[in-house]
Amino acid sequence: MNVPAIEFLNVSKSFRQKQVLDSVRFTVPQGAICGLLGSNGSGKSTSMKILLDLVRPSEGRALVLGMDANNPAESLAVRRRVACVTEDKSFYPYMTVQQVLDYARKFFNGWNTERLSVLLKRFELDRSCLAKNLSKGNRAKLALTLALCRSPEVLILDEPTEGLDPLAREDFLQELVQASLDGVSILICTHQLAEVEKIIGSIVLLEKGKVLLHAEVETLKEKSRFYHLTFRDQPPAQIAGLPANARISRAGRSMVVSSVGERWDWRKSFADLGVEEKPMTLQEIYGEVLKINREKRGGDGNLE
Amino acid sequence: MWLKINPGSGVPIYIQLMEQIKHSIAIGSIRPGDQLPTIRNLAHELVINPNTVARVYRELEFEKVLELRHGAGVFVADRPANKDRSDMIQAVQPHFRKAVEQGTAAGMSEEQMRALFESEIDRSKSTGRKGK
Repeated sequence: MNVPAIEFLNVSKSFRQKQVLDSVRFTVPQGAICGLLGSNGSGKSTSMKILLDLVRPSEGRALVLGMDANNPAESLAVRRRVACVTEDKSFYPYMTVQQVLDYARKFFNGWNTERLSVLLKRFELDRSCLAKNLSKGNRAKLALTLALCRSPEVLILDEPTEGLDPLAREDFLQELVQASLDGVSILICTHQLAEVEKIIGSIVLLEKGKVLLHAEVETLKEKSRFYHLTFRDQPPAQIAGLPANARISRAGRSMVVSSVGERWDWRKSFADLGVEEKPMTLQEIYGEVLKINREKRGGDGNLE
Repeated sequence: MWLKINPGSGVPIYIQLMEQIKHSIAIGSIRPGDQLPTIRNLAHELVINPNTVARVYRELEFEKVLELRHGAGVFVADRPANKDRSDMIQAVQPHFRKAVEQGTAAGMSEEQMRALFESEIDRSKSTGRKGK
C-alpha cells in the first residue's frame, strides 16, 4: 500500500496567544497535484513551513511519505525527498545561471543531468547570465529547474506562477504535469486559482487556520451551482431543504441560491418557477465557501 | 480530432472532453477502431491533471464509446452505439438549426437562446422521465 505523500493529522499551531492553525487535517496521495488555497494569513505558509520543519506544530503531526516531518530523527530524510520552490526566488547575486546549477548539483545525489538539459532548452535560460539579472519569470523557471533536477518525490510550490507571462506559465504548468506523470506529488500554495485550476486534482481551502473545504476539483465543480429564481411577487423569507453549504442573496423579485458541493433539488419547492442553473468556476466556489462560512459564523462579511 | 478545453467556464474539464470526443466520433473526425492519444500524451498536450484524462477514458469506456485494450491503448469502440449516435445527431441537428435560425430571425440574442434551450431541457427532465 502506498503511504500518502503528505498527511496533516489534526495539526494545530499557536504563536504566543495567536492560533494560526486549528486541527488541520488533509491528505495528498502520491502522484497527485493538490492546491492549498487561502487568503493572506489563512495559514498556508505556516503549513508549508511545517512540512519543511521550519516550524513545528503545537499539536498533531505532519507526515511526508509516512515520515514525521518534525521529528529530528526523520526530518532530514524528509527534506532529502522534498523539494520546495519558495515565493522569494533569489540566488547568490555573483553567480551565473551555470554557476548556480553547478553549485546546487553538489548537494544532491539524484541530480538528473538529462532532465536539466531538457529544462534549460525548454525554458530558454541563458547559462551565462547572472542569476540576479534574470527576469522575474526566468528566476521562477530557474528555481523550478533546480527543484525538478533534484529528482524529488514531493514538490512544494509557493505562488509558482506569480510574475509569469501567459506563455511562460503554460510551459511551467506543463512541466508540473510532466513531473506528476513521472510520479512526483505536488502541493501548490496559491491564491491565483484560475491559473492553476486545470492541473490541480484536489484542493484544500484554509481560512483562519481551519480547513473549510477539502475536495476533488472536478467533482466539486460538477456539484456546485448558482440557481437564479425569479418570483412573481416578493421572494419567500425562508427556503426549506437547502443543501448544507448554501447561501441566498436577493435582489428585488429575484433570488440567487449558491450551493457548493451538492446539487439543490429546487423542483421540490419551486417546480412552477423558471429556474436558471449556472456552473461555478473554482474562483467562484472559493468566494462562495468563504461567504457561506462567514454567514454561518453569524458575521455579516465581518472579517475580524 | 480537435480537443480544446476552457478551464474557466465552470464546467468540469472531464465533461468538456467527454462531449468533445463524442462529438468527434459523431461527425466522423475519428472512426471506430481509431486510436486515441495515451493518458500521458493528452494530459501533457492539454496541460491538465492526468487523473482528469483517466476519468474521461474510464467513463467513455463505461458508456461503451471507447475501448481500452490492455497494452495497446485506447480506441474508438467498434460498436453500433457509435454509429447510432452519428445517425441520431444527423436526424436531430436540422431541427436545432431551424430553431436557431428562427430565434435569430426573431431578434433573440445568443444568451437568450441558450437560456431558453436550457430551460426546455430542465422542463423535459422535470415532466418526463426522472433526470439523472
